[in-house]
Amino acid sequence: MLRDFLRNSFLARVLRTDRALGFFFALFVAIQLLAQVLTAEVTPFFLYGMYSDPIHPSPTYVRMTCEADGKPVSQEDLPRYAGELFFSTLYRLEALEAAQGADLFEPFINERLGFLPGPLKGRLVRDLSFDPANKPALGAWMSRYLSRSLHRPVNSVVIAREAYRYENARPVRISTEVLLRH
Amino acid sequence: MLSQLEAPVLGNAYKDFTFWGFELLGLTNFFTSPGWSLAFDLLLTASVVLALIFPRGVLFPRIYCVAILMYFIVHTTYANHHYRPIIGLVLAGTPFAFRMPRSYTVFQAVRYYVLFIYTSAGLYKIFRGSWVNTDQMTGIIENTQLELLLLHSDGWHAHFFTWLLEHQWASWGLFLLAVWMETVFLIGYFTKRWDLWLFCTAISLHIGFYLTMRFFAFELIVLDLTLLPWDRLFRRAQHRSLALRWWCAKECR
Repeated sequence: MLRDFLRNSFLARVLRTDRALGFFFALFVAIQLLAQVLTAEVTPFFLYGMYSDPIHPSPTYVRMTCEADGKPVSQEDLPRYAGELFFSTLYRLEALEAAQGADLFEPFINERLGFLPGPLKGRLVRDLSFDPANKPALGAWMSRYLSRSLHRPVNSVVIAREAYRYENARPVRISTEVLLRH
Repeated sequence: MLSQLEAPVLGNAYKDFTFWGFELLGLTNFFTSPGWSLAFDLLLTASVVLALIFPRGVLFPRIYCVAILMYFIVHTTYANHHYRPIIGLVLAGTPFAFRMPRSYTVFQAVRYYVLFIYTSAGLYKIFRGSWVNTDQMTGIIENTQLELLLLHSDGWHAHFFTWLLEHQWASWGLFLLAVWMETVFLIGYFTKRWDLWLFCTAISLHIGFYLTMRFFAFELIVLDLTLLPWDRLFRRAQHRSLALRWWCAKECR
């Protein structure tokens, strides 16, 4: 029965009728399965594991805020993709600041690519991580990007981190800290 | 468009080795530099327009597929968010990159990939144990809807989220329902008989994701179209249209 199922499967039929395309599909499936087993993401072989790890409520949550020329800018003030890109960048900046500039690559490389020689690992970490010396350039980019997305010139930008906790299912602010001024 | 990114400086190559390759070769910087980003955008747009003007050609869809994959890697790096649904834009172009009958075979392969997306999303939640975590949705809502609860606390959506936070059994029930609806796509590997129902399930999932997480991936909805019974629709149309019969006799040899 399993043999019949496999013989009549889509992949087997393609292999019989169009060998080249069939081999391409088989190779794609094999790499995809290998990526699943190794839990390694190699675009275009994705792992669709969003929200699959158990998530528990956290004592505090972070919200990033932006002020352009003294006026608050929220994600909704920007076009959809521009808003997502800009605010995701703010959360990335926040994660870097929270880790005192240490990027996510060093622990990952040590864990998954520990077999590589030390100098190569160091080079990978250096080339992939954000260089804190680029922080002024990041502020300048924020001005440029907001000017384009808001369709008005933006001369100053202030980025802050706000911490919240939930009380009776409603968020309550507990602190604010400025992370970047440009 | 890459030229609208204004040469960004803070990206994230994540734990994705293809992204690492682009970063280490300097391609992400190269494709977002002022002159080259504009040239890339023109190439990508022209490939789509020319594919529409010359629907029988396969060159322009092939250029589109390669260019949109590169766009995906560069844009996602600087979006600082590994937004996988954009892969829908890559896969949507692949059937057009081949001539008949290969085009139809690739179209069917995309259908299997769509099944894989939903099924693996469901199975991951089962095997990693999030489906038995009763405060899963509470954690997700508290983290992702903070902005909405602060800025639009009087709106219906904020009221709905507050209700879900106050009634954890309901939010967990919705999460379980989503896991079941994703896993049910397994049936599509064995038969096409339920494809129309799977299409409805996929659309319901997207509506549900929007209501419970304000997450709307239209790029995946494009791929869901592969679950429609195109064979039946095409045969019915063919019976009625002489022109379609003539075209099919020519193209489907």
